[in-house]
Amino acid sequence: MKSAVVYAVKKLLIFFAGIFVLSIIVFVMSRIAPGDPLVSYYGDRAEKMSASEKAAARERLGLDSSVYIQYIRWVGNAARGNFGISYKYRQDVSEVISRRLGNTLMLGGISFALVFILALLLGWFCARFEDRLPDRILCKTGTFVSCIPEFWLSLVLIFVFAVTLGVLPGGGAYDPGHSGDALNRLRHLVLPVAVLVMSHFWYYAYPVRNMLLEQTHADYVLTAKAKGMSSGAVMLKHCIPNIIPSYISFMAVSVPHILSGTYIVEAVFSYPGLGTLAYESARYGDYNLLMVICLLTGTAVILSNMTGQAIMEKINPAISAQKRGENL
Amino acid sequence: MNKLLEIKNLSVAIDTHYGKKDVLRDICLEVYPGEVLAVIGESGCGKTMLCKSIMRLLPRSAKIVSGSIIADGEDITGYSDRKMQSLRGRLLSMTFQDSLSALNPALSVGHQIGEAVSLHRPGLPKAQVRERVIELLESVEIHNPEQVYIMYPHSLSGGMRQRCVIAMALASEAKILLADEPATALDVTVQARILQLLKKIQKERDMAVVLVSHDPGVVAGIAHRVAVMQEGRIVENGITKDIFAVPRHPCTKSLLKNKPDFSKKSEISGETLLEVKNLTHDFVINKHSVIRAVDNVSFSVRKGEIFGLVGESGCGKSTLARCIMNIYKPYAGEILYKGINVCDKADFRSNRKILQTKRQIIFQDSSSSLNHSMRVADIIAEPMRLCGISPKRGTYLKEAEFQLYHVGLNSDFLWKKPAELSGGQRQRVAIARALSVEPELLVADEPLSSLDAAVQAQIVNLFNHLRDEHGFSFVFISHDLSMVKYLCHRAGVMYKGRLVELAPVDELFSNPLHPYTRTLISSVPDTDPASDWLDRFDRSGQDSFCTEGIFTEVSAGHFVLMEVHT
Amino acid sequence: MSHRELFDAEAVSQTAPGSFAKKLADSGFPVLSAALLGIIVLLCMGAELIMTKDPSYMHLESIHQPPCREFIFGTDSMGRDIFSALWYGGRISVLIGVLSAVISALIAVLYGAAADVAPSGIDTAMMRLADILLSIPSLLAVLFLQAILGRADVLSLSFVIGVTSWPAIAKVVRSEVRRLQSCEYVIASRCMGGGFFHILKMHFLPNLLPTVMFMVVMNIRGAIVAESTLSFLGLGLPLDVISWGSMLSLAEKSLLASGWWAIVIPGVFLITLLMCITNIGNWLRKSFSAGENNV
Repeated sequence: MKSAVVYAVKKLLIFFAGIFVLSIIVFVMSRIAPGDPLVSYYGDRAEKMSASEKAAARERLGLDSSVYIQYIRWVGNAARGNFGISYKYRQDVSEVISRRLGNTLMLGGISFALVFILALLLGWFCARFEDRLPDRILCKTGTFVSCIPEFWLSLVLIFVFAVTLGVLPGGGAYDPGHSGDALNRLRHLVLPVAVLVMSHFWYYAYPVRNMLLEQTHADYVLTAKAKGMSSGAVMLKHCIPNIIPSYISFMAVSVPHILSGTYIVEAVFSYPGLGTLAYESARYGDYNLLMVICLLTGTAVILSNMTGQAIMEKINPAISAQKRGENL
Repeated sequence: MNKLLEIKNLSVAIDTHYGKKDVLRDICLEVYPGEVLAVIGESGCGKTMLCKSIMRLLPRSAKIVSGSIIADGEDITGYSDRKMQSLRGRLLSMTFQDSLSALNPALSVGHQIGEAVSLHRPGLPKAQVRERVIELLESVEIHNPEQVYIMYPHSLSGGMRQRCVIAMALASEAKILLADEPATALDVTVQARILQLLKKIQKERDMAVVLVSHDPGVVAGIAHRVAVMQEGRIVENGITKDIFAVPRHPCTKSLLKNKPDFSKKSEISGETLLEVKNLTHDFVINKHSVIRAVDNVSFSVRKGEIFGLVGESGCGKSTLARCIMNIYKPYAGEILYKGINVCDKADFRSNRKILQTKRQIIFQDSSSSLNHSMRVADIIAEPMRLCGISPKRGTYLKEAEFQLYHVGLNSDFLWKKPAELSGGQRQRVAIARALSVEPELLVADEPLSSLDAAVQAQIVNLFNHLRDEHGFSFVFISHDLSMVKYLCHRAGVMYKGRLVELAPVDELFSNPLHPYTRTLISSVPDTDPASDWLDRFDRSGQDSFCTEGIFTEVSAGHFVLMEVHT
Repeated sequence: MSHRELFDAEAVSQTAPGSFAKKLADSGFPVLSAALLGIIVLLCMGAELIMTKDPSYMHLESIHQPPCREFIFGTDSMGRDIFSALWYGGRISVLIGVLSAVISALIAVLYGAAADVAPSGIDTAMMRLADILLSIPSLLAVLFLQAILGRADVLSLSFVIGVTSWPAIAKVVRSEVRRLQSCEYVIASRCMGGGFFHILKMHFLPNLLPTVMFMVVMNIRGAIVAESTLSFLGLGLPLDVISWGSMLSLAEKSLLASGWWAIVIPGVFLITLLMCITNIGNWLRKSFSAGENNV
């Protein structure tokens, strides 16, 4: 019991240390960035200010003090939920982000779940036909498809389904006047999700295949068969359960990869999510916004990485045993 | 008597990148009820393939080319996988060599044995499956079945795991048990216990057992009949006693006589070369746990002497070797080489040259001790280049060729990479590397354990031969007592980090004093089928011995750790 | 007893050395990929020789031409000849790929070596830092850095991509070094008195090289994708600097006008290049891991 508390505290400390370092990097980078920070607070008004007004504004905002005092102030504000103002949207950053966050979570979440399931099934299928024709064809196809950049795949799908056939919408989250319509929403999600799934699930099916093959080549499979079990049952009761923990942790560690993909796809489909937001804020030099998006994404990634590690350490007794063996 | 299993002219081939390769050729065997048939042969001769073909568990690339397998009157050669499933476990069952990989690491032992129970009795209530598993665990002499039931394979010792694997094979009362190397890779005492168990089970249940092993000593005490395999063929087949008494085929002869040629041990001078005094080494795991790997060990090695160190895995032999070679810095104690304290930094620095050239080490695993990206010539020349020794024979290449010749390899090997060599050849290269700088002290950490029996004998002969020629002193670490007996002048027995006994080899084997030494010596398999070593072997199953006491000299040169009675 | 007699039981195998080309083919070397890659790169390097038009000249009279005799691959929505731009732009794409991979490999090796020399506490901290840097999706990091650096050109883009992609290599290098350090041949070499530089030269570099090469090849691929994605989004190279990414950034306009050629042709070239690089990378990885496993 006590060790569990110690473990949790340790993990929490690592988590906060990670976010702390990340926030420093992001903050310093945003201060190095060219451009007058006043602009990001006052927008066009900043240009009309007189020199004394500017100085007063600087003092009020604390821009005259050193970087680390600015950082401490920024962290203090951030802790109260105040991340500053977005120059482009002329609104609180937190407000701008909270409006888009749900959209990204939906697109990313659906794609992630689909990739997770499909990769497992495909990997299983390939392992079942190890080195035979279906497996070889699928592996080659997989290498090919994973070489197609997401943006290009998006373009081709838009060209085929939206422009030429006109059956699916080529961008946005809703048709005008349909906001809140679930079915309309779903139609808009089809193409982005398809791109994300197609360009990622091959990439993950391959490790699944290899992990499964490593299992099916182990002697315990022979032992199970020698008991009188069928190959299918061995796969289902021994091999698949054995790879699930490592698979989950592998997928958790892969969150940044899929997140990057989501951001690109959002930008191509002008889907109102964080990715499009990040792209726009980078274009218009809206550092306050970009900083928070980076921080938010980084936090999500650190969290998923740690989940992956924790799963690896806790669930899989063989791995923790190996660790113990190393220590000896 | 009815034949339980009959194999007629069985041939099996494997598809490889280079075309078809025959792994079994024209095998004929029969097994009668209640009999133990031993199949012996060197590694790679197709023993395991034979078991797998009987179970019809061959890899997909392997095909039965011709012949038939008749089990209990049924020709099962053409049976579908589904039909085989009902036979596996019920009629035929098998245990695999490596008990760690033969068990699923992610499931508890009880669960896995329970699976075997319920497979042939579907619908059996859970409580009864559990009861049956506990019963099985008890029958393989596991004394705490309730605890073992919920344990995972990795937390059990090798011997316990092997017992669980056997229990699993017994789950459905199979009539034929195929045991593939059940006792290999285990410590000698554990190996003897597993053999005892197999013998007992076979007698109690009157099962037919096919026992596969590379070690004739293992099967001599159990088997009724023996079949000898070589390159996929059965070269000799008959009653155990006859075969062991009068081996006919050269392969059988070399298997039975793979002991090194007994050469007269040369005399040694009295001068001390290496002295280890009260050496202690700890491994710190974390703040709370420290493992004492070597505990207060003292001994000395004389010039030209072959000193043996024996003990089970994990007893601290390798740590001791690494301390001697300055790989680990000992926690306490002294190591004196020619009076130089090698643990002392200043002393080490001022004598660095001598210490680095005159002491050499040979590791257990020859594949990890040679750099795969280097050629043999460069590997052998590396220590000479490092020590700045100018080659006596002109060039480093000539020198490497000379050393290679000395370990019995020709100059073709100079340009090869380690991956192209066999295990025995790699170990020879490692020996050539160590000898190239003409050391005075050679430390060999289990140099034989990854090699085949026949190759082991060759390497031991080589060691003996080279020592006579070069006259170096030799610390030979091994878990194999018979090799120590043949090679060494004196030997020390280690147990849990302590040196429990130290004596000249003849004295040690004829008059072992410490109980652990006695157990160790009695567990060495005897190749004489008439010998009853297995029955004599201590049945009480004593697993722990006293490591407290005083190291005292009981007779000239014979030291023993004596318990202090207060 | 002679030495030879002692060992006659062990057969001495002799293999005739085959020709280099045969060995290469036997090792599964992707001949087709290498040849294709070589041709594409060569043609891109010698773009001036085969270009039929000035790639940046806008043929205003023939905007959005489908492939025809004059414009083999057609023109884009600004009237530029796609065939000429393809070779000219490929040069920039490949250049950015190689440059950024070199930058990232350099940083990674320096960082890895520093972590190796540093005391264990700092070593752990450095690896944690690499972990944290890895946690920012590289695209975001590139966006951020590029926004800071301002207008992009070939050098700044290579720098940005290189600077954001090194932690992965550094981590692999570090773990390889750790593995090598516990290898018995390194211990043996140390016993014989092998110093730091000897072990580095004889044991570490030859064993690290294939790993690093694989990572560098994969990084070239990643950098080419990153460049094209960024330029496509309008955050990388501007329209007037021709690369495969910036050529595709006009594609949205082509979409509306059903100009498939402006999307498909540069895309096919891009994918072919990536595919070739991937195959070569996979071969590298397989061939060095085979050397270890064969033992």
